[in-house]
Amino acid sequence: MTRLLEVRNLTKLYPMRSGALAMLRGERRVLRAVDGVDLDLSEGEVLAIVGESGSGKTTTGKLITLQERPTGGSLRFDGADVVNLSGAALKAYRRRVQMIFQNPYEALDPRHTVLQSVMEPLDIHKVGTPASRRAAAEAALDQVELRPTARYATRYPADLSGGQLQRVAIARALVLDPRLLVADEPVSMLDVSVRAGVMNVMLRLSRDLGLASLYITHDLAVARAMSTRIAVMYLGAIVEQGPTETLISAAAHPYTRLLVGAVPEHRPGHRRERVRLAGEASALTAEPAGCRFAPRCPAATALCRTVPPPRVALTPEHWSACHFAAGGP
Amino acid sequence: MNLRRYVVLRLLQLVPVTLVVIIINFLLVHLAPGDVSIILAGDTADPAYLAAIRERYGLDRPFLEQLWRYLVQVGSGDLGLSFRSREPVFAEIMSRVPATLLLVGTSLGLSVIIGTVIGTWIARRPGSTTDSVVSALAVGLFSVPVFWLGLMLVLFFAVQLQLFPAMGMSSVDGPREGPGRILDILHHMVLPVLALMTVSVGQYVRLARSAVAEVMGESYITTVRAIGFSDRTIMMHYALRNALLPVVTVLGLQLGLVLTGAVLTETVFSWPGLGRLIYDAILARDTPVIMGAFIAMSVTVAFASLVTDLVYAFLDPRVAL
Amino acid sequence: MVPALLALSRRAAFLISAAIVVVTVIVAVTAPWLPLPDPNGMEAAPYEPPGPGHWLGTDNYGRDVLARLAWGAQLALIVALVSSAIASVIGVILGSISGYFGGTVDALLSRTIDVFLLIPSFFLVLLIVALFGSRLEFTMLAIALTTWPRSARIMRAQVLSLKSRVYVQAARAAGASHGRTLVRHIIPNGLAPIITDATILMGLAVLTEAGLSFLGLGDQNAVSWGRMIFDGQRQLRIAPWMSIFPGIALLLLVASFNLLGDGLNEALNPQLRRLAARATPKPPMPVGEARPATPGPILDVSNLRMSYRLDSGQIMAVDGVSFRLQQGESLGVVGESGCGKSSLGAAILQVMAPNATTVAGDVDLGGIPILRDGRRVVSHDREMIADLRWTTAAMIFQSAMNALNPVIPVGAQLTEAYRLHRPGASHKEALARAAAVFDLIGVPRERLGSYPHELSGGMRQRVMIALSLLHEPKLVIADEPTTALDVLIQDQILGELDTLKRQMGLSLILISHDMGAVAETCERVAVMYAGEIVEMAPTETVFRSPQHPYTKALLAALPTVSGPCRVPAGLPGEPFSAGETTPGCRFAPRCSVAQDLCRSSRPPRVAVGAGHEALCHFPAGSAA
Repeated sequence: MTRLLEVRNLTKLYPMRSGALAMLRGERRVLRAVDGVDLDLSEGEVLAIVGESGSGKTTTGKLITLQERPTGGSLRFDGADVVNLSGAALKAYRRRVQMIFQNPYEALDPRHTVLQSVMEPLDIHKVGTPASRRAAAEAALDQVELRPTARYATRYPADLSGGQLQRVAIARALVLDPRLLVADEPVSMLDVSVRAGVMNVMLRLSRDLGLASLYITHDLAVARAMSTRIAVMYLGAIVEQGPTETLISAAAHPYTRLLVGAVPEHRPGHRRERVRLAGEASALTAEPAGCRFAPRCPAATALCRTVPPPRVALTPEHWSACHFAAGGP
Repeated sequence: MNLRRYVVLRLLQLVPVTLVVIIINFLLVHLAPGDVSIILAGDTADPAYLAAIRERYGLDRPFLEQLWRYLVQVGSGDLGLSFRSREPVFAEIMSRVPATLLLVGTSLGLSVIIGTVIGTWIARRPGSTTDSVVSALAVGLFSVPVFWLGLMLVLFFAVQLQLFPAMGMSSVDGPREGPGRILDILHHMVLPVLALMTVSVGQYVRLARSAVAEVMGESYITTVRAIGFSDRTIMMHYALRNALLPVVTVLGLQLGLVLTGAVLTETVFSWPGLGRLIYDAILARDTPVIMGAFIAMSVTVAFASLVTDLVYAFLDPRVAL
Repeated sequence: MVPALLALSRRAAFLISAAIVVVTVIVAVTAPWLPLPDPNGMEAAPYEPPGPGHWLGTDNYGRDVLARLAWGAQLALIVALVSSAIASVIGVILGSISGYFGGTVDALLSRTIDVFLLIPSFFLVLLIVALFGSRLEFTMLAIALTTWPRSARIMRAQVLSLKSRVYVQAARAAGASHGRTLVRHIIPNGLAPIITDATILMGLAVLTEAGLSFLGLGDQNAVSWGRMIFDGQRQLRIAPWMSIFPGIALLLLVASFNLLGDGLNEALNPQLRRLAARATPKPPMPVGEARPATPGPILDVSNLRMSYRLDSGQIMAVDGVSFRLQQGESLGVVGESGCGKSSLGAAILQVMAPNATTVAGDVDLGGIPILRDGRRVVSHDREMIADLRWTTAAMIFQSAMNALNPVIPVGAQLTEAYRLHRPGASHKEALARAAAVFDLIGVPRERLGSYPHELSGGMRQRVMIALSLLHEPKLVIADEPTTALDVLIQDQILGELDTLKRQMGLSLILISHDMGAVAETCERVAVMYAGEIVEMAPTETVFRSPQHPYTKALLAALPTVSGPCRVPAGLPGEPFSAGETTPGCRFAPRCSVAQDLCRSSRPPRVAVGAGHEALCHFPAGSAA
């Protein structure tokens, strides 16, 4: 496996809106949306980024696709630094890195037919002839199992259901033969019965095409079904990363353990005790003194509140940013 | 942010509006065909007055210096001299304000109250026949040319029925003071207020209607219905307060339209207010007065929108002060 | 019938105004060829009243009023079109740039727009025309230059919202340039309200021009309706027709423009139409005529049917639902979006949307009949449900951000609700009770003074639960109480509900799309599909041996974190859409074991075990 994407210390700080007077006094607060993220992704691999709202998982996706520029850190794609790409090079990068978004109902321009929408990336990059573009777009529709393609090609988004729309969006992302696919919560707005179909299409595509995928989700169960590795984010930072099954069955970070335990599902003969958690995650505006999960962590000690936790490697592929990952209180 | 700081900040926001208006004035005068001094002094001005005007505005100075002088002058409340009366425009405008204020205040107050009540009432059943008819009528009302409506009122109530006076604010031979004078003014007010009110009431009917209808569709209304509050309580206690918010917002922004209506109405009824002043100025091509009126009206509207913003912030806790 | 007529009458206003505009256009264009006298000709006698010679009379110079009206239409339309077109174009360009590029560009432009919005346009137009002369071109330009901020503001808002649409982001992510994105995706999709507003601008422009002409600032060489009224004003007593008719023409044209804008707006905003849609409920039933309630269960629902009235017709959202709930029991109602589960909750407490009504079925709540044959049971004009709401049955709504009043502190919302059903209670008692339920659910008491927007999502949902517990109800209906909350918070809230249920002996109906959430909280589960309960059984049974193919498919489609990892299995086809009809089973088109029978006849409700029923011809695939 060749390493396709290498993300180091990726950071995105947003200036926070504050009153004019506060600005005059020089008070500038920043939101630490993404705060030192490291990721590696190889061809054919699916890495899931799991986190709650405000964890920075969506921003991470936007940074990697260069929809937004990072404040700091490096982003290497195929060995080349891409953070400062512009012009033709940026356009070329966008051709190789495609994105799928959360809301299928806004995924397609309501005034364009399905075929026009799927062909658009080809038009933008002026790939081939109009006839070859058309053929490529129809092939992409076939890949996402919208068959017969001719029946879907001329329809407008308003005539399609959520699941169908999301499949068209996937087809649009695939039509340029990208090497990396970033999917941000692609199934969270779909009903269960439709969701599984879309998940299966994506699974099959990443297997058949050897794409590298970054799968962003809040749902651990979905992440488990989709990915080979999981990175858990909390308030802008990855707190634990490891192979999917290991991370779920042997989570080393208290936050991950809580997340796994909180997934509501039928666990026969298993009534679990719920821990009353303190508060909710609130946006970070200053660099935290210790562990960012310490204020809510049921097992936090004085050490956790004062010293940032190190990354503790449990196996070569599995690490956790917790003082007590290897054991302790 | 505390209230005082908020008010100060919002007051500061009046500055750009005022600046823009003054600069527009200045540019228009300089872009207009003809000599600036004649525009400002009138065709019939004698050479001495023309010279005085040139001196006053520094018309022989560089362009930017003229602008600066003009800004300073207007900024200090000096709107120039009317060339009919050779009186300061500012004083002329101020002397007309009470009459206009009486007319605009009364009709605006009445139309807001009546409009909100009717709008709320028809919003109880959006889509009903009453709603459709009243809504369409409301649209019809703000499509009425106010000056024409004024004429029609004169034709019917003053000429045909002779119920109300057709013009002026008081009778020439009427009482000069006491309750008799108040009654006399009220008698004169009826038709102009009616005209002005009619064209603006539709606006508030529609605003209140759509606001209430929208609020009634909100989830929290379902909550209070489920709690068991009666429809009447919900309407009066919950919907109305939330529905007042857009009415308040628009009140400030629409003042410009109301003032426009007032000018036209005053013209029809020879009401001795600002509108009449502007009309006479137009007839005499008295540019300084028209310019002064434009500045005065703009500042008034900007100020009114500031006041409504404050009221809004008071009514809606979601606005962070 | 009545709503159809109403829709028609609304459309009638639209059609009539469209007709008026069309007629005005035709008259304006053909004015030179119409058999009308010269509008400036002074051949006829002055002050001639309307009659056979001159239908609308003549003016003080003996000019034909009708002819002048026709020529005036030309001017009115030119002013309307040119001014609003210029204003819209300026507005679209500046608004798009401002909204799309954001940052400093937007800060500057939107401040400019705000400033110009505050400038009273008529007075600026007045000044421009007074300075530059009363030529029509100046008038139109002046009107456009003072009204563009309206369009700009609308366009800016449109672009701001469109910019975040997925298809725009996707085009950008695919490498489309700013220009292409703006021209292909943003502007075409953002234009609709601009066009709507342009019709309103047209009306405004016509009125402005008329007002100017009335003040004597109109173009002297053109025939203008405003100018005609100006002329007529002095002859009001002698020749009132001189001012009456042009005024009517003005009013009709401007009102038509406004009504057109209104109609377009309504056509483009389904939201407005939804507000207008209303269902006619069946007449209430006096309690004396109603069959008494079956004693025993806290809630008894039998054959409940509820329909929505939509533009496209009626849809049956709840279609023959029956179940009983004993005191202290908990039932989970699960299903996908549109299956009718939320409508079921609203129908029980009779808090449906205005366009929804129950058409059949009986409901008993707390041993009191509240619905018989879809008719609300009343006693002396008071609905039976009125005294049961919140005291016997309370509801927890989805998304507490919207379910709580945004402009009232949460504490006050609780005390008001408390005192509503305890009329004698003092404010102090109400406050004490509110504090007590806050304690119970783990909301700090200092939060009583907070507004909903000052609370976090989880805290708001807790406040909503506290509100539902105010009067110690016997039954709580929770409609998606944890949707849109983060996993950890969701888990906490579900835990609270579970605890409350045990401690207070509450009966609970948990409506959710999430099988997992229901599994951990409820003793019994009802699975809904297309308005029907297709399977109902004790929770363990549903998960261990589901009988209905839909339940099985749902469970197979769920990814899990516990147990062995498996790839979720998809269902073919799309969910049954409301309004569809079929003689057979509604799930048949997606069912893997469907037979011909399933497609041709309604499945029976069969008992497949203790307290376990399924709506299926072949439960558990028993197609032998």
